[in-house]
Amino acid sequence: MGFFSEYLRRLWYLINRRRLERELQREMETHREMMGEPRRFGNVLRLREESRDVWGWNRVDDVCRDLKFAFRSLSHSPGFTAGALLVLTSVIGLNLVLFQIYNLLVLKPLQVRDAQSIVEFVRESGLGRKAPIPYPAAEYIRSHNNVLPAVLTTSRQRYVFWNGDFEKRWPAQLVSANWFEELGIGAAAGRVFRESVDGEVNAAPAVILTHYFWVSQLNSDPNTIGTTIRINDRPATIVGILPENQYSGLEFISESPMFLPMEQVDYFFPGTTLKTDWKGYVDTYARVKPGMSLVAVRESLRTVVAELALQRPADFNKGEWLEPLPSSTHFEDPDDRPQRLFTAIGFGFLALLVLAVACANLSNFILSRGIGRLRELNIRMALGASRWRVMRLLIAESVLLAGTGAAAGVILASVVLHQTGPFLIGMPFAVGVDWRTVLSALCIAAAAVFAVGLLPTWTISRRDLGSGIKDGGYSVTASLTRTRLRSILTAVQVGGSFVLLLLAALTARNLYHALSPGVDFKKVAVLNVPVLFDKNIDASSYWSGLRRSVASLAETEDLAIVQYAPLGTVMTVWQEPDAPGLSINANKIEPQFFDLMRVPLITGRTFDASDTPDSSVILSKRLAIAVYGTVDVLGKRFPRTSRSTDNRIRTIVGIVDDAHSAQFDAPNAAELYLPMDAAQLRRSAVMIVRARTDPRLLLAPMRDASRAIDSRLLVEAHLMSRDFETKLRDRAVMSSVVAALGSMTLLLACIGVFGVISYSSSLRRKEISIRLALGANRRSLLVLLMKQSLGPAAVGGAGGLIIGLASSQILQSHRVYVGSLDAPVLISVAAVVAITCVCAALHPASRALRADIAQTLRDE
Amino acid sequence: MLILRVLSVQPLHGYAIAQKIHLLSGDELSVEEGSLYPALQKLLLKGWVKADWLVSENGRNVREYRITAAGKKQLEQELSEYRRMSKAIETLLNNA
Repeated sequence: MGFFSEYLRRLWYLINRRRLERELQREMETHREMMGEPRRFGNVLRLREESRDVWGWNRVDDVCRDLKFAFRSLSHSPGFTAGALLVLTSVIGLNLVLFQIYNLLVLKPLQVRDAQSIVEFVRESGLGRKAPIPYPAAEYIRSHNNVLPAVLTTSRQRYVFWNGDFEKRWPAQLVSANWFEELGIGAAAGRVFRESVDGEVNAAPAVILTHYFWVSQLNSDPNTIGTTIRINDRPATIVGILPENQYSGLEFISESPMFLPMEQVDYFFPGTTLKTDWKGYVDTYARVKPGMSLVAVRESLRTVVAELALQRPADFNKGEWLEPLPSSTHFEDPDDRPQRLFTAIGFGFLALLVLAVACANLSNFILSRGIGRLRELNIRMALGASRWRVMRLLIAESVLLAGTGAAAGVILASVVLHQTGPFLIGMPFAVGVDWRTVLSALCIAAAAVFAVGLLPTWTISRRDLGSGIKDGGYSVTASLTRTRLRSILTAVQVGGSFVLLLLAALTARNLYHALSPGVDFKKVAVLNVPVLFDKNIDASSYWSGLRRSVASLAETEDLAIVQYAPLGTVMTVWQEPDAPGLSINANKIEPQFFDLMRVPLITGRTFDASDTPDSSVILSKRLAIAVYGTVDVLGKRFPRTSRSTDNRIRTIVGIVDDAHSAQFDAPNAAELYLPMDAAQLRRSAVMIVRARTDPRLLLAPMRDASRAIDSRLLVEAHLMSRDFETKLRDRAVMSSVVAALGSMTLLLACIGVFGVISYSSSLRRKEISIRLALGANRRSLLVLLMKQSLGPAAVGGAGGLIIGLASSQILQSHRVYVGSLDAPVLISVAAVVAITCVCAALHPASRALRADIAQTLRDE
Repeated sequence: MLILRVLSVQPLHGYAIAQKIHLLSGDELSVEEGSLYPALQKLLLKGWVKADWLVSENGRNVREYRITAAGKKQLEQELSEYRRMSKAIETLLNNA
């Protein structure tokens, strides 16, 4: 209480400060007048100062004064200030952007009601494989348990045609009718789905839109609620709009602008087998009974899974169980944790590396500025300023720079996140100013202040500034130019740039590989049939009719029906214990596929009529070598030792070259092909057509051909090159970001080296001139000058090389898509860094040596 | 402690406090009188004294300081602490 009231009195003093100071002055004057000998009173000014000190606000005054002085001082060097602010803003902004994304996706708790009781279920087979749950199984679990008050299902990345526009497909998320109510998510306008209303199969078709979609596509039309629109050319009513920036953590991290009730999937996607398919899957979440542990939930559900295994032995194994993943870890699979942690640390490392290089650079400049101001600092000390006072002047500049940089960084991060949000999570990022953000901004700014301001200030103030005035600061300046801190800073800059450039080179080379996938897609058109077959449409007659019509087109050279189009967005990924770490893209194809896509057959044959998806398989070279160590494997069983992902053992009939058509820049991707069958044709398939001259001429005739066979089927035709460009865009963005960071840091390092050499040569002009006058060789002097900064640069380069080598090895072992490090990449990066550093050092050093000796000696 | 002790008898202005200390100490405690003011500011901050402007007997505007309840409590504490310490030192000196 006493402490609190004391602070209230301090505050009261601050508010009435001027009056109280006047009163104190008057009081002291009265006292002096009453004294017979006023001299015994003491120094009035000093005593007033001491009295003010008692209230503790003088420090605030000092800080304000220091900042004012720092502002004036910085405004006298606008070039330096602008450059420093630009660098600080960019690096702090970059760090904050990464932190915000990490915060939203990993740290922030789910924004749903009673998040602790929500779990996600995955099937665990005990063989180290986890699998999602088929919709019929989820429904079975829903009705046959007594530990889950609610089961929620969702299916993400379903594509639909919006309101009669057949040129573009939009992603939609199917959610069970209890989804929003159970999670406690309300609507900004209209209503969310209600289990009692929308949970029925025959309920009125309904759709809910995200706020961003409503604003960007419907121009915030106030009459949207209740409007009937067409989804997949079927009428549906917009019943609700979600709140702005609604992101609970359970929506898909992609554009999901609309939600449809899972129960109405047959209406929106006629012919879909989602509800009956035991091979398909949905993401299954549940709310567990209060107080139940995850272990208890898992054990309680064992009997349900055992019943499923009895009823569906082909789909469920006996020993399977349902593993509940808690919401506290964002439903993270413990097996994936090291990978995610690694990714987070990797990005953090890159961001901090850029911050470190930028701070090292600024620190070097502030050190140089400090050295340049030694004479001024000497005079201040001679006039009675304490060492701490002088240090405070220099620190205030750094605080002002870092504070402004942090504020501008927050604004920059907000703008960047707002602009990139729609691409990342399907809506503008709501930059939450929570304690984590504030803390991270403060930490980054504090680190910047420490590195940028305190280190150089401490280095300068350690010298005997007082003695500097005797020789004009020459001896102190000379010792500071050779300070160890300066060498460390230069080494950090060059080392950091080396690492970033190395990573940039690797991603760039990766991009180059991606530019030449193993399939020839340039003349290929794709016909997607995303809306599946109604019970009234016969799939085989549809496809044979379509095949006839498209084959008869003059522009058609060849065509094939496949499960997935190469370079498309989706493909089934298998993991085989025989080939650990390899992600295998499985695709069902027709025999002419390899000819059509120009994928060379290495050995064996393509499929023929005798092959079925359960008996035969064709492997890519990469997969054959990974599993068997050779491509000479015709007639062998696949997988070699265990059962396949779908519990089958097949015979290898052929080996083809690597197409890397699904994850085309992944070093660890391989392909596996199965023959196309009638069941797949009924489920979903894609037609790919090679054109004789121009695939664009095929798009409209393909669409027309499909409509002519059955106008109820909604098809979408596009060029395969469009898929390629879409896939490439992400990689290109990633490569260009790393390359930009690498170039930026190298530029900073060059400016640093340039600055160090030019500044130290200007400080040593007198010495250089005397050496030259005494007959020293210019070349040896040049070497002497350059050695001063190229030495630390070489040390930094070596350190960067070691870190770069280690990082690329770690990245590869964690399946991050960077190319493998080899001699050409290494040599070219080392050459770029070395040449840049030498050029940056050579120019100022040679300029110093070209100076007029007589003139310099006269000036000095 | 000295200021609080002097004020515990009656409220006084700055000059009077200095005079009183000077007088009661028998001229032994002779320091510059101005140093009284930082000490008074500290007492104000701690809430041990209160100050009010009034007109003195000789017609001057003076600021009179008055000890508060908290100040009296503090004075008692300091006095007992001082006496304990003084006694301890005296015992030590006598028995050494």
